[in-house]
Amino acid sequence: MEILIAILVAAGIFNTMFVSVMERLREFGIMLAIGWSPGRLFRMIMMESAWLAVLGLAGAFLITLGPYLYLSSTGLDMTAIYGGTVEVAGVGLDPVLKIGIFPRNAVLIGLFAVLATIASGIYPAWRAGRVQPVETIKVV
Amino acid sequence: MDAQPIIALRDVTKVYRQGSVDVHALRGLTMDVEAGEFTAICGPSGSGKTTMLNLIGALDAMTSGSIALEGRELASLNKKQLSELRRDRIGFVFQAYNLMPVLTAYENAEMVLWVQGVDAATRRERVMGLLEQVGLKGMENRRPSELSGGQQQRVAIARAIASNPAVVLADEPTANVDSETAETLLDLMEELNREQGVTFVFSTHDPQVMERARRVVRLVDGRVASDERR
Repeated sequence: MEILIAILVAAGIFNTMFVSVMERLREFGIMLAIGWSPGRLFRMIMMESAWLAVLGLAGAFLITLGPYLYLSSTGLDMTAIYGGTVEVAGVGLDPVLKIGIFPRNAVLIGLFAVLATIASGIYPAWRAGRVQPVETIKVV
Repeated sequence: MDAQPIIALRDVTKVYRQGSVDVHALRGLTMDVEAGEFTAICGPSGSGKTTMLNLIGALDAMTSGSIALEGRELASLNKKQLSELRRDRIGFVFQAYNLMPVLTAYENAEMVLWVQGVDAATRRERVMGLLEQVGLKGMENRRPSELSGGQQQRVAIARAIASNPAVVLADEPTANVDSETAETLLDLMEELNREQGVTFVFSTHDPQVMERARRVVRLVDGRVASDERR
């Protein structure tokens, strides 16, 4: 399951980077025409990927921090739905559900997100460097 | 002994493949451009004008022949060297301006200098001077969408000459502007040519440009049909 989620996340990030590059092919053509090297363009897009990774991680942290603190301290009181006790397979559970994150998992997920975002930029960055200015800056 | 031409084309051919058909855009083109020339390349659509500029500007590869810019054979240069050549020795002015829409007039004009690694203070001095020279003082912070066609082309001219290139290649530079604006753009380019010795090569259909050019090369079917110096 985790692997499937990881693949879906990576595919989503790749799609974002690829669309972002394809929408800017004309700009890349102009940049190459006026003297940017394919290597410089590659580095620029890889930097964009890295920024996206850092900003995405920071954004995700900020967005989830409040709900996480609430759910880990106050929790969700399920008494109204299940009554005084919740029992699963004969095991009694606290009707107030709380969440917790294992630090090791949090680091691994964050690392995966950053690496997947950066890796997702490689092909779009390479593709941008192979733009033919003559094709992309044609007069329309 | 004659001085070495800035641009030397020898028996240049360019064949495009369109589906299963070979299109011969240039068929053995030979000509030189000397430093300081103000040259118009004219001819009917499909005569090879834009192809010729693209090849001189190292934006496309020829099929056969040789092109040398300041004595450097383009075919012998790798991709990185060609990028450096475009950055340092060639300025481009396109019919559709081709400015970066997200950058201001100042940033567009500055771009080549930034890529060259010129320090910020020198860039600022050079770009402010250029924008004043092309008549855009006070418009530095406007984006292309906030400028008229003529003003955008002025930014493109500033960008093209920012690095003091050996030659400015201008592909139909007046095609998207009205005749009055075309006249002022030509005044500007002529002034840059006369006072700073910037070499200009235009491709054009515009009689105004041909009238002002000191050399008019007419292409027909990918070959030089006439070459008139005034």
